[in-house]
Amino acid sequence: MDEKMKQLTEIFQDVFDNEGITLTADTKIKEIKGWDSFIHISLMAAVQDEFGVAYNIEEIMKLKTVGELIASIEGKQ
Amino acid sequence: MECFAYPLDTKMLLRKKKSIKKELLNNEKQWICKKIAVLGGSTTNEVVDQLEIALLNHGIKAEFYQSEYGLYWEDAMFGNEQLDAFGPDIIYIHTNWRNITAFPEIHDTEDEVMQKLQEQYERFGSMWKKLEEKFRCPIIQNNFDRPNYRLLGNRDIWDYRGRSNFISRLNQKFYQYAQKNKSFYINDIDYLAQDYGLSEWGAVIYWNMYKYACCLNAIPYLAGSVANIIKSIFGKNKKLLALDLDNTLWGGVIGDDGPEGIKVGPDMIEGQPYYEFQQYSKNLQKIGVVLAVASKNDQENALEGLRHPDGVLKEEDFVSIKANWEPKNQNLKEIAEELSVGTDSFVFVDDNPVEQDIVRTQLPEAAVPKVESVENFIEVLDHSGYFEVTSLSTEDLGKTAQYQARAKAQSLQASFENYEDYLLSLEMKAEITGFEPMYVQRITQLTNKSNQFNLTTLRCSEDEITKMQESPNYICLCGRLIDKFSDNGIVTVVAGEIQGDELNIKLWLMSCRVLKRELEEVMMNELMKKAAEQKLSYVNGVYIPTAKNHMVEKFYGDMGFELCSSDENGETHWKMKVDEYQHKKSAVSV
Repeated sequence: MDEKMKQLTEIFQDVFDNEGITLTADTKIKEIKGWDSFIHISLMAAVQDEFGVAYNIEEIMKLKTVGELIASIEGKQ
Repeated sequence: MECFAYPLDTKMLLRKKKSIKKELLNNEKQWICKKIAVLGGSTTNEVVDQLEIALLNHGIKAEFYQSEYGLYWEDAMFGNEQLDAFGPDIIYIHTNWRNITAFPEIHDTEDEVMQKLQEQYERFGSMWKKLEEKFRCPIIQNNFDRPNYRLLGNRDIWDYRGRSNFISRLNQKFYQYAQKNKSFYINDIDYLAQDYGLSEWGAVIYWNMYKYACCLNAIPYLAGSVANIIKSIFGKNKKLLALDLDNTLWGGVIGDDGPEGIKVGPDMIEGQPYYEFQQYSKNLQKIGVVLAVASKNDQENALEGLRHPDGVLKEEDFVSIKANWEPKNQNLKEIAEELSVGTDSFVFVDDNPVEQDIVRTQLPEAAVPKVESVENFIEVLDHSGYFEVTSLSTEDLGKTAQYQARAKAQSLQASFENYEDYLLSLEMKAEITGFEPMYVQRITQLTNKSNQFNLTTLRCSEDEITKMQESPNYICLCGRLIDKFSDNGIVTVVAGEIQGDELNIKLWLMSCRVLKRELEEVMMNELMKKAAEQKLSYVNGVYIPTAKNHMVEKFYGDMGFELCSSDENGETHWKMKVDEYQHKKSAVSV
């Protein structure tokens, strides 16, 4: 969990181009400053690349928090 | 920047695009600024982001217009105030197979399919015409990729009812249009999709969720391809391919193995890839790329290797052969000086990663592809798009001969008493005309390539050149120089805009291959003659300094113009009263 949180933080910092971003399991992805649907696409693509997982449309629509994201990655690996 | 070298570091490009952009903007100082309208049949946001950084990496700073999602056709056909006000320098139409509005149905007759094909083509053809009339700027159009399924299986590609067949025929119609229309370029996504892997390229999730025409990871390749076309149009192609010898053009070390021991040629397995790479390089030369050698060898050994009977490249194929023990960056610099071109137009291929690294650090402006061994030279070089061909002018096709004639003329120079005698011995003749349609391509190329003898460094597209020629308010001149060694082709371009009874020179440039030939005197005589014919009182010149055009700082002064003003950046304004102009002497006859 901690390791994944670290990797995710790095991805989020890159994509948002903001080194100040810190994540917790409760962080709502859409509420991060600067979020828009294009950033969301980049995030999901980066997550799929980084962890070697694939999501279908329904799964992507359902993911709301960082905690859910980590759980979904762990479920797939 | 490393992430743009083939194979692209897509992870970095997608994730860190914002910081990459910042870093590139901090780097270079002299940008070519262009406005690009992206008319998309699918989402274009990532395409534009990636195109922006790819162009910055080529020294082009672009401003973008994006059509609303999917409204490419409406924007083009019915106009759009925002787009009109934007006034694009380039239009890129990003469509793919999903934007085809009608496909063959299984019960269609051959005629009905033909009808559909014509309708689909007309939809695009009429759009291109409309854009061309309104904006008169280059248009880049995607061809169609293939769908990632084939309803009819293997039959899909040849049966007139198959989508694959329909798309392939529609593409052919696009190509016919491209053949006939200059300033129209195809971005070959059909190739990109195949090269990337069609199934992955067309992964449906990207269309269904985000309306992207291809998968996200392929977008940097798509954007790179468009950027290659654009940088080529604006004269930012590489021009020279510098090659190492041992284990690059042949297998083995000629100094150790001797000419019999090196491996090259179609008949031996280890020699084949070297032979193919020599053929590829030779073919690059045929389309206008200039070849040179930079190798750590004794000169005599190097030449011996190039005389190998099974080799394709011979001594005379190279404009310069540097085989010595000096550092390669040093040799590349010398080649650049000999030919009066910048090392930023160089590509250097060497199998040795240490040599690659030295040149990469010492000459960061030169391109050093990340090649490993001869098996992937062609793949890497070809995918990098250094020499993207957007025009094939007759000058390009005869370039090596011209460079060689120049080298020969330079050696002749040494044997003359004085320079004037030498110039007279060249028996030079100039042909001066307006911007005739057949020269427009070459003139455009010159405005985008010439850096040193260029007073204003005004970069122009073919359409801009044509507009000047057609305007009654412009005086346009271009000059061809023929000497006893060769026809140098169109080498100088001058254009001035008439305002009241004054002529303001907007464009004055000359190719470096004819420096110090007294051609500029002849051009000035002609310009003044034209100005007098039009009863103008003054001709005004301006010198706008750049990092490279120092040599013409005093041009107008030397021509007898009077200095009017200069500013803190070194920009100077000059004028000449037409009836006080003194006809200039020149070794060039008209």
